Amino acid sequence: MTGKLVLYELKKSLKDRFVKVAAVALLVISAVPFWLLGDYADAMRQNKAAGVQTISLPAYVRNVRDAGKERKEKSRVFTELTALEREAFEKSMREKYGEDVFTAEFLPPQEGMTELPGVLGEKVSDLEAVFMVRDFMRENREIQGDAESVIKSAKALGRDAVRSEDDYAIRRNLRIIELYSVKRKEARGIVLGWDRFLFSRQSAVCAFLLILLISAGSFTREKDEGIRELLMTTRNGRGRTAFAKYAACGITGGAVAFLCWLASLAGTGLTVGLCGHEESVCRLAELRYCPWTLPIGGYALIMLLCQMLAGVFVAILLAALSAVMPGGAVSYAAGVLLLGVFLRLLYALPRREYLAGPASLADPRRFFASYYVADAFGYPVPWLHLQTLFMTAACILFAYLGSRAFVRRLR
Amino acid sequence: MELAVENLVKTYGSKHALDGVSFSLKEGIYGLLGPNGAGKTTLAEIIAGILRETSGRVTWNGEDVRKLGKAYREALGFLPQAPGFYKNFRADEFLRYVAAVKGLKLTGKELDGKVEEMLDLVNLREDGKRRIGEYSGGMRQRLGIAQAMIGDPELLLLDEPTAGLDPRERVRLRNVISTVALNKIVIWTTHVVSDVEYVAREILLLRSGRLLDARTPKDLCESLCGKVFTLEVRQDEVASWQEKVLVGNVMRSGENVILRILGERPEGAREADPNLEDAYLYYFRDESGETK
Repeated sequence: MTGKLVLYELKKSLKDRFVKVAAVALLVISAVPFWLLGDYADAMRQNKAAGVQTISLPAYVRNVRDAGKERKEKSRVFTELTALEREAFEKSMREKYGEDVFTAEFLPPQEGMTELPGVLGEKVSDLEAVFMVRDFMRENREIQGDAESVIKSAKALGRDAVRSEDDYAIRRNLRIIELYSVKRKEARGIVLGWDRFLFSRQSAVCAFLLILLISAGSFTREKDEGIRELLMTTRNGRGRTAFAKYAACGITGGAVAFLCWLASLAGTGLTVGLCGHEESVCRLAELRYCPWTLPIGGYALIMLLCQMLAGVFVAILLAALSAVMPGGAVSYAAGVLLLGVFLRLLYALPRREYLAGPASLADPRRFFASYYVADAFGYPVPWLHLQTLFMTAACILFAYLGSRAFVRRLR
Repeated sequence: MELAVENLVKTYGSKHALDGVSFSLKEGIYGLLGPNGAGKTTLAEIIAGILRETSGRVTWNGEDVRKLGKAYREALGFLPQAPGFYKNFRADEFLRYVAAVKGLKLTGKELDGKVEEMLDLVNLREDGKRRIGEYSGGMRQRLGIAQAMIGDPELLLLDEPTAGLDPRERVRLRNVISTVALNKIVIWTTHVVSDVEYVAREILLLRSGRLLDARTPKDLCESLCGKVFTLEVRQDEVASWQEKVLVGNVMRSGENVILRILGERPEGAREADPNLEDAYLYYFRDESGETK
């Protein structure tokens, strides 16, 4: 029976024509790569300064897409090599251009290096292939060096912790040493488009706006339409209906976050293209110090889950707010304010992490950029877990208070 | 099956909306009659469990309805004075939804049959697939009645169910309720006497939050025996008669006018058979007719 009520609650929200139009509009906005406009403006400024002819925005987008496609294809030639083939390729390069072709600080151009076809085929010259390998090697060295420097600091801090008998600090530093000792996956191919997709908050903001539109009216709808009185006189019109409303808001919150994530992914994929999902997240500058050896695709999925969770939390909190509001207009106004606070907390690291609000989960970068943990009775616990727990508890509490307010009898 | 209201009081600040109302109802249709502002809706909403009483209690089969909670609401069908609807829903969809919130345990086919039966009952079958937003006021009122009746509740509480209905629909509804009222308690609040005159087992007269009387329509009429008269007067005398006595009805008869007078017999007047409208006017003769 509760399942049926949830379905009806979903129907009530989604049958609204305005919601349908807004949903389409916000999904489109999620998919549009607005950051390209910024890039285009920068490029035009540089072109003008250099006296180079400028190009139109569509032509610029086309160029970006074509360049991405070309880089992707060239990278694919290299990444598709088996270990043996790669060894043979490196050997042939050393034989052709010298032993230090991959390690020399400065690589002087040599005869035949830029000619096509190269050793790797029609599309990649030897110079391009050599530079690709040199780039990967440099990047691997940097990633490994960064991990080692973290371990070094953790060891020093760990020694201090032992001296001061700080159990939490000992455990924390031991864990850091353990995590950063795991060898990072080596770079094998280019990473394209992912930084644009993963660190843009556009899709999350669009999702929150749509969630606001759907959830802020979930309880006030009955008050505005005069159906609350009727519901209050039925068997399931009180507690179960309130539960169904929260469940429906939670489901729509998660689904909306998923759809906006998907739209943004598609938008990035269609413009610059996406490449390198199997590469380590350490390849992305923002996640260079990520303590976990995650592939970029894995992080994208974690981000999706976090955004869906944030969507569920925001939807439930907005629904709880609507349960205590006297009417739709007030509820939407209060919802805008509340969402504003949540988004403010998303953009600014709070002094107290547990006050970060549900929207902070929409961009989980801060939880993965370092070993970001809290002291939970002497044990290091990732803030992501604690934040999820805090928000779950807050949602349960506010949903309970909201439903109490909704079903209470008129005075 | 018994619904009892015990010494019910409801106050808003210093104003008494209900002032010690008590009655007990068994199976049958009951008309809750009173002018605007008499406390009918307040009483209905307290019985429905929407409004909190200041003191007193409502019992269902001897148990306090507040303690019964869900069990009481399972037995209740309620039509509020101004029922609301989801305008984007179709009528049949809305009835299915109401069936779900009422917790009716029906299979898909049974539910389809029930919904069709309800739509038939209120003459909305043809329009059952239309969006409620496209409905007229009367159609919405009929849908409201259908939602109250779905699930065959033992206690049917109808707050002004005929508001917005045309005369034909009023008669039809009266007959429908009369038919379905078997093994039920139906409370029908109204200020339109003809709505309940022929169907009510008992009429409860409510004035200024107090229960004036509770009798069968026949008893109420009989209580006015010897107090209803007709008198033929000239047109220019009507105003002076209206100042002197309680005039119920004014009917033209050729050059003259026939007045229906309630109270003491004026000279030359002929005694008439009292009806429920006379009783209403007689009991509520001091009401100004202000709305709540």
